[in-house]
Amino acid sequence: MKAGPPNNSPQDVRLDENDPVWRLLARAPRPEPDAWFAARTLARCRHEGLGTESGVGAFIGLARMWRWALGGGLALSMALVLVVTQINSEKAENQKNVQEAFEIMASIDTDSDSSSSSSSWQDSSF
Amino acid sequence: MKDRFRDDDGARAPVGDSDAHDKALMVRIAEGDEVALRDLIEKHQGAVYGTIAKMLGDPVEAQDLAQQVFVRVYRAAGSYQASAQFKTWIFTIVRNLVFNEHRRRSRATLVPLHPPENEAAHSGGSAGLDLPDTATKSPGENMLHREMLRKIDEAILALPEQQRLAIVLRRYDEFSYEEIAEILKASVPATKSLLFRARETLRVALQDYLEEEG
Repeated sequence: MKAGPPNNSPQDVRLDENDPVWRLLARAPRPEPDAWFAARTLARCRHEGLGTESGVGAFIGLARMWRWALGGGLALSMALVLVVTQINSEKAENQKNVQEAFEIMASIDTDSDSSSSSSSWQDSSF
Repeated sequence: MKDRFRDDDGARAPVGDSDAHDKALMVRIAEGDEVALRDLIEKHQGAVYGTIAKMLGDPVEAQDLAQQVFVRVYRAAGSYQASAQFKTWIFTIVRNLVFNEHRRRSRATLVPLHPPENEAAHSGGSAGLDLPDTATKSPGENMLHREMLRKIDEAILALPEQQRLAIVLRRYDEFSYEEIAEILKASVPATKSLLFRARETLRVALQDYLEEEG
């Protein structure tokens, strides 16, 4: 460990070096990377560094927004489900009404048919 | 990337003008000079990797994060503005990545602070550097020495992340208070206060070893 950084005041450096904690920390040195670290990093830069800064920035921006996107997506899908359910129930209601109307009309027709046939029977008796 | 081999201009600046050298390397990297990128990595790999390893206590994760730092530097070379010191700028990237990693870890499962010894030895961790000194120390002394190193690393890892980064930058990277304040996005008095509290916490945690030393 060097005596002190060049951009620190001598007073600061003296304060550090007189502190036993500081001296003790120096006994557990910073780990060093292995001999192939630079080569591996260079290869990774070649591989991953192809994207432009703006592209990366956009991706990071999107990644940060994922929570909002997830919440928004859920809310949107819930709203969609509600609307679809509403439309379906309205449609079923309408179909039911139409069915009932047909049934009523059919029953009216049947009544009128039977009355007319009975009258014709009466007529034929003459 | 174009592979240009140049050994002239600002990249071979005088030794004392380290920051200007770094900035000249960044200009060359922006132009696609792979040799400049290798120079920059070789110049800063020790500080970047060592700081991250001290911050995370995991040499394997530290390798990955340190590589990510240089990938970011490479990607940002085109838009790099040489307004601040290069070293402060690169350590701001280190800070962001390390703090993000802490947040990711706090959301995920807990990771052991110290990997198994054989793993650390293979990946260049502190345990790997601390090979037994059989020439001058007995096996018992070696064991005690390793135990002390482990306790020191544990004490550093137990500090809150801001204090930990402040102490690592100050002790191992020899940054000034102003530079640490810039990296931590804090004021100089706040940085001094962080460092004071970190030292006091370490003083208590490492009391046994301090008494031995005293």
